[in-house]
Amino acid sequence: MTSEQRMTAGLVAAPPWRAPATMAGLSSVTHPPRTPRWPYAAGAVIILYALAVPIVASATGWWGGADTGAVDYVAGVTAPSWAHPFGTDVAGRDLFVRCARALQVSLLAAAVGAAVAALLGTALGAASAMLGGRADRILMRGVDGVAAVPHLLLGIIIATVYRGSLWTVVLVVALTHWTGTTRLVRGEVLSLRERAWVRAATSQGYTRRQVLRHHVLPHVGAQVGVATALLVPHAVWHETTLTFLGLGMPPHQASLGSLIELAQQSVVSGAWWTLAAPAGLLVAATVCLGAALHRGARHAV
Amino acid sequence: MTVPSAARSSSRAHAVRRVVLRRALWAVPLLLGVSALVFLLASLTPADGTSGFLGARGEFTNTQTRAAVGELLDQGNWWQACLAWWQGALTGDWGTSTILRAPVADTLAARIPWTALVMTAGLLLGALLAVPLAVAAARRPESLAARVLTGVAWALSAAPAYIVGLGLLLVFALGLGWLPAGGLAPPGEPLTVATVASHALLPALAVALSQVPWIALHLHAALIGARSSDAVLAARLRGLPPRTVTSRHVLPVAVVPLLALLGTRLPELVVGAALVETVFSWPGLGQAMVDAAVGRDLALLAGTTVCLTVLVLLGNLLADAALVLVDPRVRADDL
Amino acid sequence: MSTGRTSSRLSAAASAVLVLVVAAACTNPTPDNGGADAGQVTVRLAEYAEYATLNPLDAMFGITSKIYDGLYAVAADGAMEPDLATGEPEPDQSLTRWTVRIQDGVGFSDGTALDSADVVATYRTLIDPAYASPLASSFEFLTDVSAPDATTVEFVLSEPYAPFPSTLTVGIAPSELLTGTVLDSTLNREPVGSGPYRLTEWRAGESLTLEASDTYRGERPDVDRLVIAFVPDENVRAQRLRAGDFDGAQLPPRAAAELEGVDDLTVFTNTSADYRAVTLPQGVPAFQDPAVRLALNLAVDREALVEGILRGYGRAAATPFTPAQGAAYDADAQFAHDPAEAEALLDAAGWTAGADGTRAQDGVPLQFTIMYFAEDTLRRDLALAVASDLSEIGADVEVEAVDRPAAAAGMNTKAFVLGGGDRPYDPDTQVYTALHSSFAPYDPEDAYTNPSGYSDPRADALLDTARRSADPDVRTQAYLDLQEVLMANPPMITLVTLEHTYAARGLDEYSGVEHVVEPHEHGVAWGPWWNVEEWKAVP
Repeated sequence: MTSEQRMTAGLVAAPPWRAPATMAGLSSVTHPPRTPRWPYAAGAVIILYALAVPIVASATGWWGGADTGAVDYVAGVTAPSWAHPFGTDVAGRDLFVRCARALQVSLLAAAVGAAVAALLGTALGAASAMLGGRADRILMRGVDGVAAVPHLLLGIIIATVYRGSLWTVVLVVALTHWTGTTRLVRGEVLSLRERAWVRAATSQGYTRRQVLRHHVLPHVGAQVGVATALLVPHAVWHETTLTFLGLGMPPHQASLGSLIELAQQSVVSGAWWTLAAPAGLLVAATVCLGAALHRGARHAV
Repeated sequence: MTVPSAARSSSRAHAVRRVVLRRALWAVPLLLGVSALVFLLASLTPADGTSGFLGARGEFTNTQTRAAVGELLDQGNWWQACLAWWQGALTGDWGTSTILRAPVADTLAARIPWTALVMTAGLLLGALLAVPLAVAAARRPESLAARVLTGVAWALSAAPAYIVGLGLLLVFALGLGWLPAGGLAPPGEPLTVATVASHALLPALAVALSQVPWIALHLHAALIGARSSDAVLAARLRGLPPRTVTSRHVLPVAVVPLLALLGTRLPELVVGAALVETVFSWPGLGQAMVDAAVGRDLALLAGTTVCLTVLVLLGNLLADAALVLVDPRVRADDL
Repeated sequence: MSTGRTSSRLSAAASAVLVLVVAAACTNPTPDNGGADAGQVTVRLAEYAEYATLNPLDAMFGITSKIYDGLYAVAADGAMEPDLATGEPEPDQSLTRWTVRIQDGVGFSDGTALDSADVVATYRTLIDPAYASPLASSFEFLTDVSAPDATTVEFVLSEPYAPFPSTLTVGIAPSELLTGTVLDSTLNREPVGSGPYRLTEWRAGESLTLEASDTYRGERPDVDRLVIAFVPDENVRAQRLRAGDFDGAQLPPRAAAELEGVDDLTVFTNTSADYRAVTLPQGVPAFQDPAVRLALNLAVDREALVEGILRGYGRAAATPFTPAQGAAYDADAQFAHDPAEAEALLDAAGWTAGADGTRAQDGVPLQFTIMYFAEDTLRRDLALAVASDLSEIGADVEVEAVDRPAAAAGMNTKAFVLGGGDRPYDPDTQVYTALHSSFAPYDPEDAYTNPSGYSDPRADALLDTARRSADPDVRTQAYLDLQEVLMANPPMITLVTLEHTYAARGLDEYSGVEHVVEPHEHGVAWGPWWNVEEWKAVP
């Protein structure tokens, strides 16, 4: 048993899919018995902001219109005002619209990365449990190995190869976060295999694959869905960090990471809003979405 | 309870030895795998070390010169390069960094202590900050103060270490001018324990603050759990003062999961240190690793990766050994 | 469970960790660097990156010039002056054999003497492919070096090459230390030169210290010590400078402008031959039409680039020629910002706007991608601003962040924000490889030479005339004529030349602080400190 497994085995009440630094591990221990409802409302507001603001901007021309790539370095940074609620950045672009676009991109990268991680993890976990024996042991040693290396370390190595695009971030998230799902699915499948109705199906001569598809995976699905959803806020964190280090998103592409990186140029000269807007959104999105997802997950399971 | 007998403590020591041995065996394939991954992944790109070696001058370098540099850096295919690297590493020659034009071993030797310093100081500082907070909050879990504390811890846990570092830098170094903003010592002055300590404080604090939420929240939960345990209830019934109950009965029980947590937090701690280093121009491994990744410097990347992984494994091991020592319920075979 | 026992085990574990920390702090090398002796003058500077190497065969200018002497050195306002040499190099009639006489009695910091054998060894090693010096690029015509006597060096070239003297700035190293390769040479970290300073300490990743060399042949510098710290983040650099940690730093224009007049800081600028251009490769069909290339040049608002992005620290440029080229630079060769004229040109050439606003000619759209180096914020800003300007006249422009291999791979099919001016001290080294058609064919291994694939026989003839002529007037006229050709048939959209910006304090305490023309590279070995060894303290 590795120390991470031990963590999940009940010494601390953390759910088994807890990736280090995800909100999932925290939330289980921090939610007071009466969970407030605000995470749902706040999460909805954030999603609505990300989706609606760019559309409204291009339809109405408010906040300087759609973020088309037009720049005005001579105008440069301006403080928040009615016309630009979050101010403008060094290239004169409205940050209210640009942050919404950035949030979209970051969430998209995170969601796709989490989904790919879930697929990979489910496939390997199910395979490991169904194959059993030596294959199972080898696979689980591999899982331990990957899990022992810090995510960002692995991420930096991967990003060395495929630098500078949305797919870099997706790949890094997927390739570093599949281990949790693999363990989860393997555990579930192993326990399901012993249930009466699965045994019944097996004894009636269904193949292993059929049993897996019709009886086991549907039951695992809900758990995996929850784990994947909980991974998204954490994946956003990965996107910003990689981009900040110059290995993630291309610098001209709006994403929370690239906006924070760009803000570094202006923040010390007093343009606090260039950092406050994306960093605040990052924290708000991670906290609110994390809390809402976790609350939803607890209701669902 | 009686003082443990000599036989029992020797069985504990035996258990620790077993943990150490098992982990050491497990580290070998892991390190081989990680380094092989570095070379394998790098071989999958069209780029080689030449562009990293030439850096900005790459724009002004002609074909012949580029070819000469390429020849110099050529290491064969990825597994040959990896094998050659390990062969050297086992004899103390970790290859030559292409971006620093210096032996990787020298670079690592110069940088590991600084990373270890910031990491350990950060972890200790984090524990020092978090434990009193958690104890205070666990006293009255439903109070406003406890709710504010958990709320702040949540928000803090969502802020990446580099944002925390930037914030500290802006406030304490640049704004208030209380602490130095970077480096190991004032420019041109010799390194002394005092100057290094004052320069390490902000980076260590940044690392600490990124760990505080985790330690505080988990300890908080464990304390609340321990508070309702039979032993604590019995102690209360015996009429022991609350302070004694907390220090003698609640804390020791809650510390066990905390130790386990510290072990699992180490990968994140290493990563946090790497990010913080870039903000504070702290000459540690993390910065060297990011530079190596950007410059496609395989020897340095493999060297830093292996070193950081070893640091993580060592930390895990220390936490587990401590766990075996303090908690008789934990059996070495579980670890 | 015995709680008392547990706590004592805990405290034992905790003290073990503490011991580790203290040990880590104490076992770190704390070499005695002599400290700051009373009366020593120290200048503390902040550099934007750690130096990769101090090997003179790996870095032609900059920090190595503090430690090494070359045969010639860059002097005030970008002139070349003899350093180890005793006079101008003497060419033969054919410009293929050059003779340089060097000073007698010069010593290296390790106590050995510097003579012509060291010069020969330095240049022979430089062109030896096995040593793999990146500087070899500048010496492709050099075939042999020899030393007829202890103070004479002869260079043999494969072709007539008038700009040869401007390349002779490489620092001379002791011949016995020129072993191995550029990757593992001991000179990388332990330089031994004959220059005014010697390296006394290098804290990996943090800083290095240079001290006045006792063996320097010239007058001992008034500035005894140079401490150069490596501070990659520009904000931290600016703020630590402001807080008094440093006496000077190189800063990007925006950050430098913030510091002008703050406390006792001043902004110091040097003109440079460092230009930025957007290439127009022939692999994009639209760029084969000279009318398109001319129109795109007219559509870019260069003054806005200078004001908005460079904060005024730079000037608009129309060709790769810059004021650094002196008499060979034609200050009147400038494109006006005239989008209306650009649109008229495009209309006349048959590039008409379609329904989506993008222009096309016979179904070929005016559509392309501009690449920039992902880590270079200046090039990113220029790429975005140029794309924005060109969109307004109906071009469909995408921007793409690339790393160096991807840039080289895409060079013939995508536009690219090019940097130039690595060796500006002769017009030939500034422009020849960027413009001559012999470099036009695309080669991914040599992508940055003539990246547009530009080919104009008139330009070729003028470039070759200037390269092969020993007469300065003939050369100057050829370059002036060349700029006319480039204005009529532009090879690229040359955007701006930069001024390199520095912030410093205490410059008025010295006399001898002068300006210099900087190449593409910059840093605290340039700026006001390029000749710090010649500064004299004002009493």
